[in-house]
Order: sequence, then structure tokens, then C-alpha cells
Amino acid sequence: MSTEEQNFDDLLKSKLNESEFAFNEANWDKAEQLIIRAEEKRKRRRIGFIFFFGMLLGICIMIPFIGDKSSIDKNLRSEKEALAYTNKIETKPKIESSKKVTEADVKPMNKNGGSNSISKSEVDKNSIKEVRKEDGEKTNLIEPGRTKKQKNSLANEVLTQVKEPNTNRKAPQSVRGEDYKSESNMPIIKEKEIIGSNESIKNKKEGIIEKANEIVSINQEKTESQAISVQTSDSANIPVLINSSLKKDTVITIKDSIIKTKIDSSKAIALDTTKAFKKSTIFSIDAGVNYTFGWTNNSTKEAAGVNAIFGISTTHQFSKKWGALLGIQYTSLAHLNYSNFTSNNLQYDFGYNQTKTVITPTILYYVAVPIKLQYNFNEKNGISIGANFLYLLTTNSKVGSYTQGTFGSPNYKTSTKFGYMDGFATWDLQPALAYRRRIIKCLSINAEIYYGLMDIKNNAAFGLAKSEHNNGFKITLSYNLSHK
Amino acid sequence: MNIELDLITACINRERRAEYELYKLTYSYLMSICIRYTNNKEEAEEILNTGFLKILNNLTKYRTEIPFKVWMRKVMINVLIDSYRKEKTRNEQIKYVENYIETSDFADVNNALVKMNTEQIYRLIKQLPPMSQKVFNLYAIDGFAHKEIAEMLDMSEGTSKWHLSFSRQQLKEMIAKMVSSKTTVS
Repeated sequence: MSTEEQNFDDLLKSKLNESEFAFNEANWDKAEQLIIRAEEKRKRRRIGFIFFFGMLLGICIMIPFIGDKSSIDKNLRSEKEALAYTNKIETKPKIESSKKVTEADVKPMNKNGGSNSISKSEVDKNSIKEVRKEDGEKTNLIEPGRTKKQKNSLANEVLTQVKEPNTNRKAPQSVRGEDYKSESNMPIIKEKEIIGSNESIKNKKEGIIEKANEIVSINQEKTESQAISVQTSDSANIPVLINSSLKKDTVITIKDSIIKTKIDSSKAIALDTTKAFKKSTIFSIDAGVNYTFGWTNNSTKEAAGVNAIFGISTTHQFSKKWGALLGIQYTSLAHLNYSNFTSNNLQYDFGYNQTKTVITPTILYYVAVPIKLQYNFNEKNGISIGANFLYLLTTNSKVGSYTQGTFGSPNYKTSTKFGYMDGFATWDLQPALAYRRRIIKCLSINAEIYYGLMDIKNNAAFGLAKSEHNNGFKITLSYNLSHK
Repeated sequence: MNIELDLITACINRERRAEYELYKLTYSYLMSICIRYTNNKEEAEEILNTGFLKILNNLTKYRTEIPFKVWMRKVMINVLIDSYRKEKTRNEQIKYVENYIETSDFADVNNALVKMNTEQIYRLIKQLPPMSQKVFNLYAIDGFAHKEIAEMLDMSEGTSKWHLSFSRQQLKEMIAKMVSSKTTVS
């Protein structure tokens, strides 16, 4: 850059720096409005963040707590009739938790009280092996000397015992519980001779299962869907947990420290938990009410009250626990009374004619689109988190018209009109947290709390100085259309 | 313009009175920046308010090592450039003038420039094509380097240099024309 160019720039710079602009007070008013608006926005964002963080925190606390408990409850409830007596199990001495049953843990006893040894030192979960006794003889699971009829009757007897947990149980004589000996009151079960695996149960509808799967754990805490309590002749309940789903009418008998199963029917007692989850979409009709907390303007409370909601929604279940909800709802925000538009019209003719019109919007009608992520604790209970997007359809306003002229008496008319939407936010966004409970198969109840982020009324249009937010809670009933 | 640290602290604490004081103190200086980058006074005032809000919101980031005036100018120019970027969708057409007539040399122009008032200079700058006007303002008046300007305005350094040279030439021509027209009249 040449010196002349430099001089040219410097000259320009100095000339421009000489410039003075007189301070304009009106400009400060505009700047102040900007500052106020920014402060409100910041406040709103902070509240929104706290609300969202609170919801997240709540979910984080609730999910592990409720989810775990409910899964146990569900499993035990669904199978307690047939199999599990959890209360009894709890009273029994515990065996090492979460420990795979090994040769050392499980000491099958022969009739003479001596223990049988198992040839394999480690239990292979997936292997089904033919079990042999110490002396190399193949284990005979079928009691010798009994006919098929006798065995069936025995099976039914045991089944009755199992199915009626509250009746005074008697050990079935045919169950050779008296032969069962234990030093530590523990179920002494011969490993690999206990329960048929899923596969073997399926394949063998009748008769005694000879090949068996292994025990995974003998521990109440580890109760999944396979808690079995078997009663012996001395009225002791033996808790047995297995790694396979039992079918209905599975009969459990004990003989020579060996628990055996017999299938009378393949009908499942409960849903097979191993069955793969199938993704599904549910359509529902929703109807209910919401209660808006409202706001106060110069000690005038407005918008607080109950409004109706109805709509449809669809829920897509990605997995047993998780799903997404999308819907469309009609809702409204009523009980408005504070803000109004006023117009004055003064005409001079022969004398004067003055008309004053006051338009007071009273109800805002919205279409809402809820988008939520659902988490199901179990079949009956679930929560969802998400947001409602609201679009202002129209408003209902009370129009009061006051006319007065030089001649004649003043006239006051009121009417109701739709469509005065000036000064109201067209969109609103409400982060929401909801709880759902299924009442019957096709009907559920939802409770939701929401917080509107947008300022409902434009402060400049109505001459207001504070923000109005559509906050409240709603209770809706959902009828499941996909229910069969 | 002398900005006290106490005033800045009060503004950080969101004291409206202090904000008003700061606005009043900085108005002229900020306006002189805004007016160079915008087309009219109304637009300049609007951007000034946006810039002032940004200054208030970022006061906590201000470090006392650098003069407040310099920091404030930097923030204001960033706001102006952001505003320009938003309007860039209008797809400004830049006409590259390959050959421009050599009128008079810088010595004559500089002599004429000394006699001109600020208002006239503003008017001359406003007559420049928008992009050239911005480059000239950023380089010649606000002291940014071509590299910085290239980053700010999303162009190459070469283009920035071209705009600067083009602006100078245009201004020179305009001043020369003004001088010659005055001479003819007299």
C-alpha cells in the first residue's frame, strides 16, 4: 500500500471519527423493550430447563425402581396359581445367590444317604446329557411297578396341591418325599435330572422326562418366571428355580431326590417370556379434561378452569417397554376476560354519533399434536415424556358495542364472534410428563402435567407487562381401537 | 467516552439505570459504526439496539486487559456482519469492473478530502457497492486484516483486496468528480 493510499485511508478515518450523533431517547425506549423481552425469554428458558430436568430426574429415579419390582410382581402373579409360592420360598433358607449350581452345591443322595457324584465338574448350560448314577446305571425316572393310570392319578394329585396354594396341603403319598433326605433342610436335588428343558417339554407331551436341563440357580432373588415350589411328604416346600418355561399342567414329583416333570397339556400358563416381542401399533380415541392454572393480571385471575379435550392417537411399541405416541387433539383455553381491543368511532353529522366497540377474546381454540416417548413399567402402568405442539385455530370473542348520538338514547349490544386472533401467539409448545394406567383391556386413564413455553398474549398488542403461559394438567381416557 | 468499571459491573447486575447510562455513553460511537455498514439511519438504529443487547448479554465475558471501546466495537461489528449474512440470501450481484478510468492522483483527492465534511464522506461510502463498502469499512476504518475480512465475509483474501482497491478507486473518482463539478460551477 502506497503512502498516498495510506494517507487517504487515514484521512477518511479521522473524518469519520469526527462524527457525532445526538442521543435519541426514543431509541433507548426501543432498546429497553428489547432488553425486557430478552430477560423474559431467559427466564422462560430457565423455567423450561428446570421443568425438563425435573422430569428427567423423576424418570431416572422411577425407572429402575418400579421397573424391577413390577417385572417380579408380574411374573409371580401370572404363575402363582400353578407354580410359585413365593412367600414360602422366602421363608426357606437361602442358597448362595446368583451362583451356578455346581457339583459341590448339589449333592444328590441315594437311598442309603450316600451322595451321587456327577461326572462333569462344571455345568454346561446348554448341554443335555444323559444322567448316570455313580454306579454307571442309567437313572430311572419312572417309578417301577406303577401303571400309567396310577402315574396319571399321582400327577393330578400333585397338580391339585400346586394349584391351590392356600389349602391345607398334604404331601401326596405317591411322591416319595420320605425318601428325600437333607442335612441342612435344603433341597437336595440331583443335578441334571430335575426339569425338562423347553425343548424336551415341547417334544414330550406325556410321560416322564428323562433328559433334563440343568438348574441355573436356586435362589429366591433370582426368581424369573420359573419359580416352583414342590411339597414333600413332610410338608416342606422345596423351592426350585429353573431356566425353562413350564407349560400348563406340568406335574412335578419327587422321587429319590429327583424331581421329575410330566406334561398333561401344552397350553401355556403364562406368556412365554422367551418369545420375541412383536412390534405393534395401537390406535386410540382420547377424551377428557384439562385444568389450566391460569395467570393473574392486575389482580384479575384469568384462564384458570376446566376445558374439554378430545382426539385420536397412535402408539407404536418399539419394544415391550418403549413406545412412541403421536396424536392430534382438540383443546381450548377458556375463561379469558382481561384483555380486549377497543375502537372508537365518532362521526359528526347533524350532531354527533359515537360508537365504541369492545372486543374481549374469551376462548382460544387449539389443535394440539402430542408427541411422546412412552416407557411401560408393566402392562398396566407407564409414563411418557414429550411435548404438545399447539396451533391456534380461532378465538371466540365477546363483542360489546355501545352507540350514542345527539338524538336518541344510548344503545348497548353484545354478541359473540369468532376470528379475532390479533395479539395471540399462533403456536405454543408444552413440554409434558404423563402417567398412564390401564383400567380394563381396552381403556386406560392418562394424567398429564404440562408447561406452555410461549407467551399466549402479545404484550405490545394488549399493553401488558407480563407473560402468560398455558400451564396445567389434564386427565384423559383412551379407548384402544386396536383391542380385540 | 470513558466507561467506568463500576458501570459495567452494575450492567452485569442488570441494573436498568446503569444500562441506560451505558447506552447513552456509547450511543454516538456505536452509531458511527452502524451508519457505515447500513443503508439508512433507521436500519442503523435497529442494529445498534440489537448490538447493544448483545454487548449487555456478553458483559461477563469482557476482560479488562483490552479497552472497553475496542471490545465493544468488535461485538458491534460482529452483529453487523451477522446481519449482513442473514440478508445474503438476497444474492448480491457484484459487478467486477475490469478497467476504470484513471482520473486524478491521490494527492489531489486527499486535498479535496480534507475540505469535505463527515456527512459528505458518509454519502460517498454509501454509494459504493455493498460488499466493497463493507470491505472498505472493515479494512480502512476498523483496522481488520484481509485474512479476518475474508473469514467474516466468506470470501478469499484476494477478493477482499480487490474490493478494497475497487472501493478506493471508486471513492477517488467520486471525490474528483465532486471537485471538478465545483470548479466548473465557480
